[in-house]
Amino acid sequence: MLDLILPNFQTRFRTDRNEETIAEVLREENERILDPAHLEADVIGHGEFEWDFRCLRPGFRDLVAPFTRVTSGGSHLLLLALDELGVTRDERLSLIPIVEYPHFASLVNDHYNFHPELNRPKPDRFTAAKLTQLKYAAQFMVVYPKYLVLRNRMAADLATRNRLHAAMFQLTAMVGTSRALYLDWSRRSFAGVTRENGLQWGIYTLASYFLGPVKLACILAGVPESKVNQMRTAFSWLAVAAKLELDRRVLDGETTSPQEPERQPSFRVESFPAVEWIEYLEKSGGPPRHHNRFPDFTRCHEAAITDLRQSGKGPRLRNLLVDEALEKFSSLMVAAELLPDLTNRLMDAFQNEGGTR
Amino acid sequence: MNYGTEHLEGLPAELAGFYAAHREFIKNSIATYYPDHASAGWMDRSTGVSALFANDLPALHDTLLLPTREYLARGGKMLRPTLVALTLQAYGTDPLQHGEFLAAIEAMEDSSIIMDDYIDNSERRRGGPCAHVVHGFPLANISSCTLFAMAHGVFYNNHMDLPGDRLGALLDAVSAEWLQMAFGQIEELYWTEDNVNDVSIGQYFQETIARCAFLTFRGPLKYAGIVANAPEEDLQRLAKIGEYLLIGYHIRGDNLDLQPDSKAWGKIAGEDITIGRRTMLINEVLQNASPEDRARAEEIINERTEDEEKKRIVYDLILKYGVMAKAEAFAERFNILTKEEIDKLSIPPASRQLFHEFADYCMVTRKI
Repeated sequence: MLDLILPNFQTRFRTDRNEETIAEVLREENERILDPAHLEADVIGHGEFEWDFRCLRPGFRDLVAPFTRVTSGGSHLLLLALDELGVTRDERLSLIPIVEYPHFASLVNDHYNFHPELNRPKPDRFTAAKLTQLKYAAQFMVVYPKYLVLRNRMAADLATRNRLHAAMFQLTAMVGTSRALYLDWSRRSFAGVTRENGLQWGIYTLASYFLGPVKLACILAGVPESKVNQMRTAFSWLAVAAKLELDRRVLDGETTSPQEPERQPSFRVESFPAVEWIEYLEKSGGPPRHHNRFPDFTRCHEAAITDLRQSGKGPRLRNLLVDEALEKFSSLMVAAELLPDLTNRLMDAFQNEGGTR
Repeated sequence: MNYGTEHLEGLPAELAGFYAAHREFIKNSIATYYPDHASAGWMDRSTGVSALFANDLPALHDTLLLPTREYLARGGKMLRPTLVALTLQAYGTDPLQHGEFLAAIEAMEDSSIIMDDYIDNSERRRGGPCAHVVHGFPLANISSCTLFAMAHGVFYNNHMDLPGDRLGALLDAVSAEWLQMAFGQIEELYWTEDNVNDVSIGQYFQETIARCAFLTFRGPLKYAGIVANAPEEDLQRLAKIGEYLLIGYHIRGDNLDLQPDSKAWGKIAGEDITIGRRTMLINEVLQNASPEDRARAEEIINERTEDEEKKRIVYDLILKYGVMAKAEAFAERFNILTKEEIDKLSIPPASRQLFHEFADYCMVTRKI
């Protein structure tokens, strides 16, 4: 999704070499996850009784396949960060599934959570059952990479493994919180939501793309916790800038929804211009205070964007916020003495390339 | 909040005393760590990440806390935190020093029940409407999954200040439980969605362990054993005890739920047939009944019917083929196996007695 979120992702962050590496790692892992011998040896253990591996093929495999075709892009940031931190050993590649599998699961979860059939008072039982089966296939995807830490595939020491466990947990909590807030706000037409709430939501929403991969890289590199915390704050500011810039690009028609239907529900959430919408509602007297348990997410999203475009609001305030956020990101990274090259690349991503700022 | 029933019917004497002695503490801990409002401190502590800007705290309460709190308020048995307290005490650790741990285990249980309910498309739970009925499927899903994960913050954020090696063992144990849980869920949904009729008893037991043992009861036993620094050989036995307890508990639960004069009839038993779940009872009929009876049962189960008459036909077949008696025999067998493992634990006799009584309650004396 970073291809849509980050300006000039293709030219400044993605390399063919890393793309091949990521694809190869995931190709192998996608085969491994279907291999009973691997699952018993490394993932679910040898049970006292008998596993039924028939559930894997074609069921699980075919359910998740459409959602695993396009990676998040976060692995490119991961590899760039690892390179810069001097972590070159092969074991580092074990972090790629930790970045990508939860992303695949997120695509499924958003497909489930914002599916029109489930946003009805009484969903069709058969459709709900099918979607629930898909959703639980995604649950296996999100927890599956835990085995890599459990079996220490990255050859890390105990403290590093504990920190990796915690980092994965924290990202899960942030992504879940992002979706919970989006759902709640959509149901009440964003009534009472403040600009600060919207900015924090943006941080949760983009955490798995920016903070997640870079934090994993820092942990594997043995960067002390205090510096990682500084980096986390810096990346929160980066997420603010990236989210506002994404919102602007969506409103200006510079980026459009991905073609793949499996990516569309997630992109719809992640690109919702919440801060713009909140400010627009405040200026127009606020939305009607009503609660709709079953909003049409697609229609609400499109209507908000249409209203915002028609409002003709200038980009000045947004640019100031983006500039301020980027400045904080940069100065915090300098203070942390971490990843100067990646920081510059990320700063460059928002500096006039494409003539938009 | 009304969680924690005052008295559990069928609870043996010593265990009843232990339960009564800890019930209020567990209830208060739940109220403390899963409060009726979301504060910034609660959010930062639960996620392990400080927010840069102000969060929409009422929304976080309504989406993350409320659905699980609604279940907690209806009065669960609090069996799992009780088992954690019992285990901590058995290894010389004061349960009263671990309120967040106990509360988290119950929050995990109730949030995971929300998941069970929307998987089963149930209507009611503990006398009230299910979370997906009240809040819709999406919120039930997001809320239960996120709060379930966040309840693990007590482990991942090391709120118990464990030393590195014990923290590592604990986080590895949690990961192992999550991996099995997720795989077990895939197995079960595959059986249901594909109308699989040849699930063996061994596959059923393994799937049950995988899908449920993270809380019933292997997970709580292992976690408490690690926190209390139990010897390695005891940790392995605690895991085995948890698995045997679970199977016996599960089988007895299936039998109780299927009694047509039980309060649950038309809810749980009816649902199992309606959603086509492959329980041990249904598997036995699908495999061991006469061809004619098997065909009739298969037709009804595959139909996903809500017709009470048709569901009663399946129930009658379960009785006809003595499946419930067979299940009872299994439960008794697992009770014996559980106690054999309990007797190998290096714990004081009084704690051993409490474990024995816990096993008896789960597999013999429990009432719906």
